[in-house]
Amino acid sequence: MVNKKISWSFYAITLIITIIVFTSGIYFGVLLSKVKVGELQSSVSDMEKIRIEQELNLLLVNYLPNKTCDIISYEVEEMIPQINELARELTYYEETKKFEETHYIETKREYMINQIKYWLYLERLKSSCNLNITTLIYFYSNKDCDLCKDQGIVLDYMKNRHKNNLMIFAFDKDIELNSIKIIMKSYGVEELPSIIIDGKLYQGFIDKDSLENLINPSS
Amino acid sequence: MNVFDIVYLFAYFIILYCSVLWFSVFLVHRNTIFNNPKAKIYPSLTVLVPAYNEAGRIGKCLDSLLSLDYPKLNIIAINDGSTDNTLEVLKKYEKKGVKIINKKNSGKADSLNHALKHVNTELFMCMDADSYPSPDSVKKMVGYMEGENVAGVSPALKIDEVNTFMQKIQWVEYIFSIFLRKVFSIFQCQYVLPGPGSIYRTKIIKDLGGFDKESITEDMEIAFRLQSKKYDIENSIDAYVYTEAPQSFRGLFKQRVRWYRGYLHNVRKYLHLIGNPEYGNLGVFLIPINFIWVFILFAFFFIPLYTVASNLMGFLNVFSLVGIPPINLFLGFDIMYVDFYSFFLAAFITLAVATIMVSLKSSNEKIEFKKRYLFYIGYMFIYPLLFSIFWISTVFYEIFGAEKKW
Repeated sequence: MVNKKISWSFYAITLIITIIVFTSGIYFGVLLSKVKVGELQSSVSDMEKIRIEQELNLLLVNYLPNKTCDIISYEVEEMIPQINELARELTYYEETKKFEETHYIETKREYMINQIKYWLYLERLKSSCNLNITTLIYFYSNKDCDLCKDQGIVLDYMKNRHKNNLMIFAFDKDIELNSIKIIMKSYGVEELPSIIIDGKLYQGFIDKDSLENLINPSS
Repeated sequence: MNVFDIVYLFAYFIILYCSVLWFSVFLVHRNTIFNNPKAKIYPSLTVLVPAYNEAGRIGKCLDSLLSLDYPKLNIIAINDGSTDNTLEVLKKYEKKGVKIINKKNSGKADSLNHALKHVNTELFMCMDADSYPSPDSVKKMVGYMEGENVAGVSPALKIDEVNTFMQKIQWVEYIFSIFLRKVFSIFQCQYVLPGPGSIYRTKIIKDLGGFDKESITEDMEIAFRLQSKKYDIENSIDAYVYTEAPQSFRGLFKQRVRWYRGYLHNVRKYLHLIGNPEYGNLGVFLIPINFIWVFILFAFFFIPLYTVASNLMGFLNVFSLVGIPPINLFLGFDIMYVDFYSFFLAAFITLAVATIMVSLKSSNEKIEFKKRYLFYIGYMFIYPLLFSIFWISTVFYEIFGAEKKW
C-alpha cells in the first residue's frame, strides 16, 4: 500500500498566517496597555495641576485681608469625585491589566506622592477655613492582606455614601516611597489594613457600621 | 496575564490555525471542488437499506431510490426484526424490484453484513430508512470510484425537515460539514462514511470482513479501518442526501454522545495512526488536533462557569459587608475596557460569519437571512455551548464506563 501524503506546505503557510494574525492581536493588547497608562499618567498630571492652583488659592486666602474660604471649599468639593474617579480607574487598570507596563509603577508612585501632597493641603485648609470634610487615610497591600479586599469594599461604599465630605487617601504599602513609611511609622501602623481618621489610628478591619460611627460620631 | 488568559490565548491560536488551514485549502481548490469526475462506464451498484421499525418513513426512502437516475441499480431492503409493520410496507415494493431480506433483530452493522452476502455488484451504497437521496446523487459519486486506491465516497448531507430550534442549529452544522467533509477529502483524512448515502467498493469491504458489529458507530469504524489500510476516501460536495435530524435537545444529546463515544472508541482501536506519517494528514494532524479541540471545549465551558461562580461569590461578599451596593453602570466606550480580547472577539465574529458564508456556498444554499436568522444566531451562540456539553458528557460517560448502547 502506498503511504498517504502529508500537506506540509499547507501547514507551514497556515502557521505563518496564524502567527501574523495572532501576534497582531497580542501587539494590539500591548499597545493598548501603553495607551491606557498614558491616559492614567495624564489624568494624574492634570490632578496635580489643579492641586497646585488650589494651594496657591489657599496661600492667597491666608494672605489677603478678607477670608474668602467659600470659593476654596467649593473647589475641594468639586475635586473629591474627580479624585475618586481616578482612584477607580487606577484600581480597575491594576486588576485587569494583561501586560506589565513599566510606566505604570512610575504613574502609581506619582499618584501616591500627589495624594500625600493633597492630604497635607487639605489638613491646612481645614484648619484655616473650618471645612466640614473628614479625611481618611487607608494603608493596604495587594500582596499579603486578605482583609484589605473587604476593607476596600467597605471604603468604596463609604465613598459613595459621603460623596462630597469624605476624602479617602489610600496608600499602597508595597510602593517604594519613604513618605508612606514615615507616615506609617509616625502613627505606629503595625498591621494591615489600617485606617487613620482625623489623626487617630485604627488597626485591623473595620466594618461598615463602626466606620460610620467613626466618620460621623453624631449620627 | 493569569493562567486563564494563557489557556484562552492557546485556544485562540488553535482555532485560528484550523480556520486558516481549512479556508486556504478551500480557496486553493475553489475552482475544482464542484467538478465531480464523470464515470467512463457506470459500474453496477446495489443499495442496502437496513430498517428497524421504519414503517412510516421507509416508503419515501424507497420511492426516491427507485427514481434514482442510474442505469444499473439493485435495491435490497433488510427488515431487521421490526416490531411494527415495516415488513408489510416492504412487501409492497417487492413488485417494483426491491429485494427483501427478513431477519431477526441484530443491529444495523450485522444487517448490512447479512445483506452484503447477496451483493454481487461492483459497488454498494448504504441508505438509512429515514433518509433519501437526490436523483442525481449516485451519478455524481461513482466517478470517484474509478480512482485506483479509492474504497469509498461520502455524499453531502442536508437536513430534510427543519422545524424545531435544535434542527435549525443542525441545519447550519450540516452545511458546515458539507464544506468540512470536502476539505477533509482533499486532505485525505475523512474518518466517517456517513450511514445514509455513502458508496463503497464491494470487494474491499468484503475482504475486510464487512462492518463491525461491536461498534456503536459502524459508519465511522469502517472509515477508520479503510484509512488504517491506506485506502482513499473521496467526497462529492453536491451529491445530496437528505436525512432526518433529532428534534429535541434530548434526542440530539443521545445521538451526539453516541457519535463522540464512537469516535473515542475508534481512536483507541486505531491508536497506531496517531503521529504516524504513513497515514498522512489524519494521523499527524487531524486526530491530534481533535484532542486539543476537546480540551478547548472543556476550557470554554468550565472557565466561564468558574468566572460566573467567582463573580457571584464576590457579589455575596460585597453584600455581606455593605448590603446591596449602588450599581455603577459604565455604559459607553472607554479605552480602559478594551484589551486583546476585543481584538480576538472581532476576529472570531468575522471568522464565524466567513465560515457560514463559505458553508452556504459549498452547499449551494442562499443566505435567506429573514427566514434563517435564527439558524445563524443559534449556530454562532448556542451551538458552541451544546457542543461543549455533548463532549463533556461523552468524556464523562467514557470515564465512568456507562454501558454503550444505541
